[in-house]
Amino acid sequence: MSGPRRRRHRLVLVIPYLWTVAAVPAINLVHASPLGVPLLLWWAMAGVLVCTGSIAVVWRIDNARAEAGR
Amino acid sequence: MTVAIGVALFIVAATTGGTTYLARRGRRVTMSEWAVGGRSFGSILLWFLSAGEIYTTFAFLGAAGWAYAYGAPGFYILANAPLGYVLGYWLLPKIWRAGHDHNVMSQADYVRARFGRRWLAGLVALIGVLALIPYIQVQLTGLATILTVMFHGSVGKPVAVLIGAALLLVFTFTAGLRSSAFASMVKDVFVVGVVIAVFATVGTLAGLGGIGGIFRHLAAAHPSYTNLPGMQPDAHYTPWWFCSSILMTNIGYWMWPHSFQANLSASSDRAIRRNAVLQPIYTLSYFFIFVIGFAALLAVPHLTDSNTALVSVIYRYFPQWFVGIAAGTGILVALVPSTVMLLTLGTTVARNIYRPAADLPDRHRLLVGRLTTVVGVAVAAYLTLGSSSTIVSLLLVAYSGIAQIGPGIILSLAWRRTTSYGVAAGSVVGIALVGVPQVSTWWASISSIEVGLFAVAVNTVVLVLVSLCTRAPQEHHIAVGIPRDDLTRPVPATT
Repeated sequence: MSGPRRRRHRLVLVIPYLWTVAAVPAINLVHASPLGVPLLLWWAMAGVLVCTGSIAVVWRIDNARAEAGR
Repeated sequence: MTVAIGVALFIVAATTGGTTYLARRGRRVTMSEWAVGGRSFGSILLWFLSAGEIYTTFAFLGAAGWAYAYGAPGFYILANAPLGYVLGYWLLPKIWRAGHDHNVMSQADYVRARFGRRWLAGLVALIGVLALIPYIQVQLTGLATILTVMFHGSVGKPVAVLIGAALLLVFTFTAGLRSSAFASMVKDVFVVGVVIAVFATVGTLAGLGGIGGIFRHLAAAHPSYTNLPGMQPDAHYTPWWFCSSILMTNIGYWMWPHSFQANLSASSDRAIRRNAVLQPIYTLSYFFIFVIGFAALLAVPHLTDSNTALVSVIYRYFPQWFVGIAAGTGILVALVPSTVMLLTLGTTVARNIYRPAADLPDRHRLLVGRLTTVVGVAVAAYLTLGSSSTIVSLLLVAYSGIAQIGPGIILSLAWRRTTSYGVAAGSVVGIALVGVPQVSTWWASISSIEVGLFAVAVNTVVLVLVSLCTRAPQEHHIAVGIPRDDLTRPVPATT
């Protein structure tokens, strides 16, 4: 299999940047505090999970590919 | 008060003494042992080692201080480490591999191997050392903050800074990286315990009515804290500032000489990647720290120094023995990561700045490394005495410096055309932009974007242009950063 196709799943790692950086100006326009906690704080904490989740997905695919290639 | 001081002293002495003893038993300290722990750390030890570096004074005191002073702008901190590991998932295995294949022990070693230029390694090392100084200043500010609050006015700032500096040097010299990994484990248990205990009880103890009560009271008293630009709009912590700070700290995240070096001590690139999956979760504990900062704002308002927010609220509402545990933890939190930073500072100067071409005995370089460490702490102590900056601002200054080697290192792992003159020109221009106060003032008058990120952008453009006009390094140098089999060329169909 060629290199670029093997690596395409790595694009998942762009999602955390969209969540924690690009979306912030829009989220900041909303003045809401679900359960008393500011939305921006909810968003930033969810961002931690988005980062971990994205890395986990890529890690699993990388691992599966490494096993298959062996 | 004596109870608190006694408990704090016991925790610090037992942890540092015990871990140093464990680490040194039957081991001779060699240059390689001192610097990268013999390249044999497994992933569990690496996890604690990395946690010790991330959860510094910056997290413990700085984040609480910014929640106290500004509110929402401090939330940017949550993205710092997780996004660092997103970048790291791609970046770190490449660096580890260069280290593994080419006997690279430090960042400057890598630059030298990748470009074949000793002077460029020296330049990158120098930028790293310069940026480490405000980082060590962060730790010293934290130590001094804890000591002054603990001794409640009877110890002035100069004495507190001196004691802090002495503690740093003693702990650093008793052993190297391995002992710091052990101390990091003890420290993490304590810091998590203290933070959760304070988080769970501070609302009730301060009469605010639990955690929900803290948020209710805060929304009533300071409605502007929930959204950017936060409680002090004049400080211009706008959404643009927020995003640009995250990006700047992301580019600088792995550029710290000590982070680079810790990564080299991993046992495999698999360990690094697995670590990248688990590590970000730890960041969620910032929520506890923010809540403690908010509680402090309601319970002990009008502090002259927001760095003291967390310690002050504990001092005011908790029993003596607990104040002692918290103070001891705070001291460990500052000591443990500083050790790693100071060791890196020492090895970097000893190997890459001090007569790098000369064939000197190992003991000679070890001595130079130790002397440099003393000088580094002295300079940081001097700067701490004259500064009233918040811990978070100090770290942003450090990041705006270290991020300037980011374009060079990152492109050297991805773009074959990157040249030594390109990296040198880009990083020098970047450092000049963040270092000249007039530039920062001018930039702040036209945009709230972090000046460090603006400098990184200019740095990258200069790097690319100069690289295109100068000759690329030789093939075997390029292969250090971009190994042959790593090229994404299609494999020929016929074999």
